[in-house]
Amino acid sequence: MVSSAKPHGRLALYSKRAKEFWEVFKASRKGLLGVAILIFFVILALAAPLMTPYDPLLDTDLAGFRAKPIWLKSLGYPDLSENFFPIKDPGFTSKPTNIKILKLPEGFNVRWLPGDGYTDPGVLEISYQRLEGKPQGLLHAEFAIFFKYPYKRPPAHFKAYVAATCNATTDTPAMVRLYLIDLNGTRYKIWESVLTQGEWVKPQPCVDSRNAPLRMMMFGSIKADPAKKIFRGIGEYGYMLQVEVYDRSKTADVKVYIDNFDLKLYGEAFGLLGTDFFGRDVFTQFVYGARISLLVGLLASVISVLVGLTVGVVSGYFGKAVDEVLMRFTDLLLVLPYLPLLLVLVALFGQNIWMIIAILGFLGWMSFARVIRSQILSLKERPFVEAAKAVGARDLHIIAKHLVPNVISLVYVSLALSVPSAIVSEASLSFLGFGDPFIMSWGRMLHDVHYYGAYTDLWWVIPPGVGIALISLSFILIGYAIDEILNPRLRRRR
Amino acid sequence: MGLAGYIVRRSIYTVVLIYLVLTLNFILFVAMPGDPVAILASSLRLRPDQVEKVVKLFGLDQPIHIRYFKYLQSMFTFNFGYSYYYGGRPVAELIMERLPNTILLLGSATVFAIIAGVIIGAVAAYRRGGKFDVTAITASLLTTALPTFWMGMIFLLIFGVYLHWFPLAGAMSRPPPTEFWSQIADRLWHLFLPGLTLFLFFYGSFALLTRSAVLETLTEDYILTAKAKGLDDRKILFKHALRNALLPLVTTAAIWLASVIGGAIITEQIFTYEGMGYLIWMAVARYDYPVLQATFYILALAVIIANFIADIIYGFIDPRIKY
Repeated sequence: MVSSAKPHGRLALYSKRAKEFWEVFKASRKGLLGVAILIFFVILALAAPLMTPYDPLLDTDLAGFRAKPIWLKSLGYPDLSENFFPIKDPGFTSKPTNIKILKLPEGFNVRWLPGDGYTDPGVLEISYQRLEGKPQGLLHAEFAIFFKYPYKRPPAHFKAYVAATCNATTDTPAMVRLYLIDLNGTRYKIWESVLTQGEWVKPQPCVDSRNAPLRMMMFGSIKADPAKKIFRGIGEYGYMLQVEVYDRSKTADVKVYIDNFDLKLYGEAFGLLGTDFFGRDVFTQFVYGARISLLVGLLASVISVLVGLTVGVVSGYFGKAVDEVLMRFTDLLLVLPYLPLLLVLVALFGQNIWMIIAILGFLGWMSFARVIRSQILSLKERPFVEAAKAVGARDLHIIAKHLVPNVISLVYVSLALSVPSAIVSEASLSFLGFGDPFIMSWGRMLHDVHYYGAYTDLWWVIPPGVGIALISLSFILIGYAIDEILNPRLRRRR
Repeated sequence: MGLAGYIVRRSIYTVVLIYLVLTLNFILFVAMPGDPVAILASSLRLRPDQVEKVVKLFGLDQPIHIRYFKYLQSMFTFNFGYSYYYGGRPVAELIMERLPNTILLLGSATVFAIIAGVIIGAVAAYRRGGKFDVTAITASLLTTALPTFWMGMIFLLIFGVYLHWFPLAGAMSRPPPTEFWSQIADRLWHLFLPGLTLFLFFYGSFALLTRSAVLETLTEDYILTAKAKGLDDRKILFKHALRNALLPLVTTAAIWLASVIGGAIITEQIFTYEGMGYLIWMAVARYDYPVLQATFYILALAVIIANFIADIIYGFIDPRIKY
């Protein structure tokens, strides 16, 4: 029909045009800078899963809460502790070699069984047998894993795990206790429990040094931090298990099974940008935040430009009542305070990232529609439109083939220039606590900083803000560069 | 049609726009989720029989069209009913408490931003491509691109947390100083950081706008004439070029008010500055519809009236405009 050019011929034309455009664009230093910044963030967004193994939202407790970045250690804080997990094989999946037997009264026997375990195969069996003789009363067997703690400062907090079960009867009850041994050999009991037959007993879900009842039990004050009191510097520490058997009847035959024997010391320094108040990696949040910002910015900008183009063209071309209604509606949206409206609409339609993108798109088209309308108003009086009408072209044809191509340069510019406002709007929403609760965006990172009063964590405050600013700036620079190329009126008149 | 006819037309149009805003405002909040009565009942700890009375008091038991007319009536009389959240206090009272703070904040920031922006923009345009121009453009782009709240946070960090020069929160000390002058000083002291944040956010757009407008006028023939007459640069720039370039800025500034208010919300949120923005934020979070409706209406009204005034002023200051 109308399009006489063959598809590949048209493609060649487009690629030629794109090449020509790039030739001119290359000359614009600002434009190139914008493209460079943009490429950086696009790579960041695409390569996010390669750059960090964690999830920005779900992987909590990666280190101590509000941990500092690791590089701070070489910038004047060399003593900061890092994550330290001294137990190499907590599940006893292979025969343990580093367990030291501190005390093993007569009748006790220790062996490693490769079979059933708590969650993984392999378990430690501690058995006590006395077939004759008189009852021995309370008996204790003690085992410990010793390790060298390499940091001057204590861990941010620690977690201790164990799972134990037995075949004990009420005749010979058994108990387990967990102790930490500090560098002077002092023992600190952190957990104890009576064992029940055929049931795995364990701390629920672990012994946590931040736990207030634990602190009360250990030091009689919830302010006393066991991590600080025990880990007082570089030295050899131990994680000890005590099995108590009460031998009180004619014979005794008890088997205690120990598994999942683990101790985790969480560091005060972690990752490139530290952690937040839930021990989540801030660097991961930053990297994934680039995705959200780019996604929101680009999609919302496409929606708003499409809506703006449609409204502008329809309003300008058809005029009269259509124009009046559309323009009054545009005015209405323009005078409504933008951010409050955004807040209300998000509260109304749901805090969901796709909904937020749609709302941002549908609130961002008004001034562009006005610009397009005024362009169309003047274009439709031009002779080529009159000529098209004279040969009987339909409205849709005139709009699609004669009017839109004439304003397409404005579309490109507006596409680039409406990205920043969408990005900043989403960030503002998230900052005010109205973002998608299932997504960690840059705005929400700053919300967290503000909410928890973590202003002094510069590594947490600065990256999201700079990220938003740089992405916005890159689109502004690109938009201006395109504007100068496509709208010759703005070219340098020196 | 003369100027009078133009004003009449603009007035009619303005009234229609106000009516549309009012209606949209009503529809939005009727459609909002959350049961306001439940919120109110929990905020005041009401018994079931009291809840019934409250429903009657707020007119929530009436059919929708009656509520609509009552709503219109209340908006026109500026009698906005009672807040759901703030223990049933009159909304008008709440707004009157907060509005002065916001006007002070927005007003001072905007005035300084316009003055600084226009001067910077004009000089940058005049020295196009020079050092000043490049620096000014970069700075303006940067401060406009930086998120307001982030800039506010950084200022809070530097001047509040580290240097202790300015307070961390609030619009005044509590309790406020008794003496008049120290009260004023206290206000300004609290105003400084949020004001500075908003100023830096605003001036950039004005500088860029002025720059492009002045660039446009600098190519006009009368500038060439002025140069030929031997006028000095300052006179050409400020008397001839800038004056004409400023005309379109009047309308832009008026429309701009709608987006400026968003900056105020965020800034007030960061500095816990008890203004309209903070009120709106709390109202959205607490589903306090009467407060939201009223603040929405007041802000939209402010923008509409500003636009109306700008249109009229434009008619007066630009002699080329014919009605």
